[in-house]
Amino acid sequence: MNSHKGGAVSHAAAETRRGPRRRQPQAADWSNAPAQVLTRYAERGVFRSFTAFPQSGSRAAFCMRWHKDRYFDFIVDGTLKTIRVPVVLPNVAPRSAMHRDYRQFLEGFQGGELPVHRSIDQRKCFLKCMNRLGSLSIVVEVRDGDYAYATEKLLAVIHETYLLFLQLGGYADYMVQHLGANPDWGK
Amino acid sequence: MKQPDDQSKWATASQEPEPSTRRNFLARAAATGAAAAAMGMLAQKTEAQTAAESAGANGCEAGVAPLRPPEIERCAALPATRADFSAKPMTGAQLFANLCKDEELAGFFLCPGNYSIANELAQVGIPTFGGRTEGGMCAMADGFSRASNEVVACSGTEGPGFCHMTMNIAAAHFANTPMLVLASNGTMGAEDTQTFLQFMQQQPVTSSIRKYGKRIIMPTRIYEYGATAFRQVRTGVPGLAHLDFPRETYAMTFKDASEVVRMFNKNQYRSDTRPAPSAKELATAVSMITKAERPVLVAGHGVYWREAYDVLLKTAERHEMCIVGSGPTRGHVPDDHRLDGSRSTSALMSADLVVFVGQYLMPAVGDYTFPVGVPTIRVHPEQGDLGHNWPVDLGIVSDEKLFLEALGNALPNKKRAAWVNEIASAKKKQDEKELATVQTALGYSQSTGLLHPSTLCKEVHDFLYTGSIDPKQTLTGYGSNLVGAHAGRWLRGFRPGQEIVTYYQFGAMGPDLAMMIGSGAAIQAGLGPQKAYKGAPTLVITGDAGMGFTLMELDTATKYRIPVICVVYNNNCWGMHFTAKQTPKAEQLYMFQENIRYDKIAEVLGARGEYCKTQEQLRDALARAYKAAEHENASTLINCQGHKDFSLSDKYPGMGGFGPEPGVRAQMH
Repeated sequence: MNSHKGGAVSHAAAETRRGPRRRQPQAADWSNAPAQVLTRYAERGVFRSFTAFPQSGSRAAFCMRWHKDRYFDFIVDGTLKTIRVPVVLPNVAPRSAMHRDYRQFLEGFQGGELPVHRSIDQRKCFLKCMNRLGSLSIVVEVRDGDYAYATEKLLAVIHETYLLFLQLGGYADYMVQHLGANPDWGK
Repeated sequence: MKQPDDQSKWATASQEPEPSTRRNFLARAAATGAAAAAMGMLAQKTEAQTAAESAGANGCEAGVAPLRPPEIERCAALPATRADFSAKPMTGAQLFANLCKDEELAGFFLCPGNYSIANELAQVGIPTFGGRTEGGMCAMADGFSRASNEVVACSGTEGPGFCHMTMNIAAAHFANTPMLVLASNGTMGAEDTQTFLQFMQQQPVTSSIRKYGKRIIMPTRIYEYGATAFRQVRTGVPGLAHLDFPRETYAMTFKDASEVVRMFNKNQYRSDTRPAPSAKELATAVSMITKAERPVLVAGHGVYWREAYDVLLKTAERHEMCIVGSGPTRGHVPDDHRLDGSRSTSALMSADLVVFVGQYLMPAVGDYTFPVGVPTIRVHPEQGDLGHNWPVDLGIVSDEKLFLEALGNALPNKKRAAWVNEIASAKKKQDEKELATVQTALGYSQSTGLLHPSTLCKEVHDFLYTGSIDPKQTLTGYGSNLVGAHAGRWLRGFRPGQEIVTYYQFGAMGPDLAMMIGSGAAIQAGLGPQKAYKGAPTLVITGDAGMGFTLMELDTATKYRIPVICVVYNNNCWGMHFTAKQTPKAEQLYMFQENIRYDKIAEVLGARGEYCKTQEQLRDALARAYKAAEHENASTLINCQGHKDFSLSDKYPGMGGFGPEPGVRAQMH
């Protein structure tokens, strides 16, 4: 599914075009599996729009309009065996309380606190959170080559970020100031 | 469906003090009805009125205090009469009133105006309430219907009165309230002449906030269009119908029935038939639900409207499905049910199948706390909405009750211990988090000597649900943005129709007190799901901003002896003043005069007033207010003094975020 995104060129597209050429991995699963998972969700109406950019070397990039009407870039790197979302939450100061809370929230997925059906099997992939110029990003390291699993888990984590972390965590002001939420209702 | 025969139940009140038990409410309600029928009582005074009179308190000159008008009892004692063609010609208004009576219209709320229609509806015996503003009375009608599950009507006069109703017409529309909006509207003879007629074209105003609307321009068709309006509000997904009447229609006289067109019996102009699921669709649904490990059933407004709550619980229990209620009322999924997920938000994210039943207003994907791309079944009475906002894997056109009955019969018994434990565990964690929030707020209250909204709401919770009062007894609702965010966490629906979500979907600020007075009228009459708690008090938590809209309707509550306890969180401002953080010159826009004594205004209106600054004072005030509500049918306004900065999260952090949906705090869907 390719739907027109409009507006500024996404990080994903830019990085795909500018990224250094790397040797493409043997298994094609690194690009096909995420594409299939994301397309399936797009066809189920999860995203408001979805774009799969042309593959470039060992990189595949996707962009979807999703929570809070924001664009999320998914960048799959077949050489590094990672899937990266450069901006999950914008405008979060490094070493801030919110940054710490979010790290803790993510650790919950890998620390055995959640039921098995929601947690992440660290033998299959590993989740890392980074703060880059005030944007919280997530990188998933795919450990067993199961890119479909990693994509599913990454989507679930971002989904829970917006529906549980922000909603239950007392971030009403943040949602108003940085995500365009209505101060009355949060939408 | 039943309706009260006359208005006597609002005309009097028991004078005997009784403890707060369900049995006593039932006994008192029965005695009240008998007494009212037997006597044409003179105006009675509540203790508050007597005290005010003798002491000259509260700004009243000694010896002058509000008195209930004798007309309340006098009118209630008069027999209802129904016009017919045998004695003299009938007017259009009389024809319309007879139609409303035959349709068992349960309540009619108005601010005088639209006189012919309004007076005839009262005369024919429809319980009719007159109040202070069209907007307030429209909200009252909405609240009455939400609590009683009955069709209701409101009325206003011509252009100005109709305009005043508009906000609350919209609120009712988005809550799918089965309501008739009736308004007189000039004369056709003078239309477009700019004669002083208060005329305006009303129908375009409601075109996006109604299910059906019609300016009746042919007098002979007044009955036909009235019937159409009832057909529209009662069938399929319920909704709102707006009729406006030029003078030529309601004032027209008809010598006999032959002059009126299409005047059929209601059994001919509408049908009670309902769609049922096909065998194939049902089998597919059963297969999907049986295969799921963690199914969640969202029981929407339609489950309440179709009175399908008993079969809902039976079906859910049989198959151990998590259930969550949604819609403009709460309680059809009881908050204390072991399968209730309304305070298990985190567990909802584990669902592997969602079944929406009777969800009239669908959230968009991402609005509800369910997993990304979760498989979905949606059951809805009308095909046209299936797939709207939320993609469906299986859509079923069916009446909610018929579907749940069929599903209950088809599903095998199944135990889902792990799922039930996950729901319970999530609820425990969420409750613990809420209690921690209250502790933080308590510290803020103690450090400032003022009530924090979280403290206030927890105190109300403990008073209503953990003491000697039957937790299922009191009808509640809440408004206001700031205190409302906490009230949603602590008010409970333990039985159908116990909690009214006054904000639902449209988010109107201010109608909450009036809406809950209307709900109070429903529980006083013991209508629909309120039957077992007939005569119980109603409580609303609201804010000082809301007081600007419907405070005067405390006069209406007192006049009709509808006991409402109105807990006002008074922080001297619009709670959203933090939005002016980056524009400090604008901050003054959000401020009221500080320390306004809304309790004193209530006293002047004949209700009781209480003033609190601490948790202990509130506890005592609630006890006194409840006692007065039970024993005197007296309303009380409890003015809880707070601090405007409590809404600033940088100064007073830790109060949580927006309410996740679905759940106890849901307001949008």
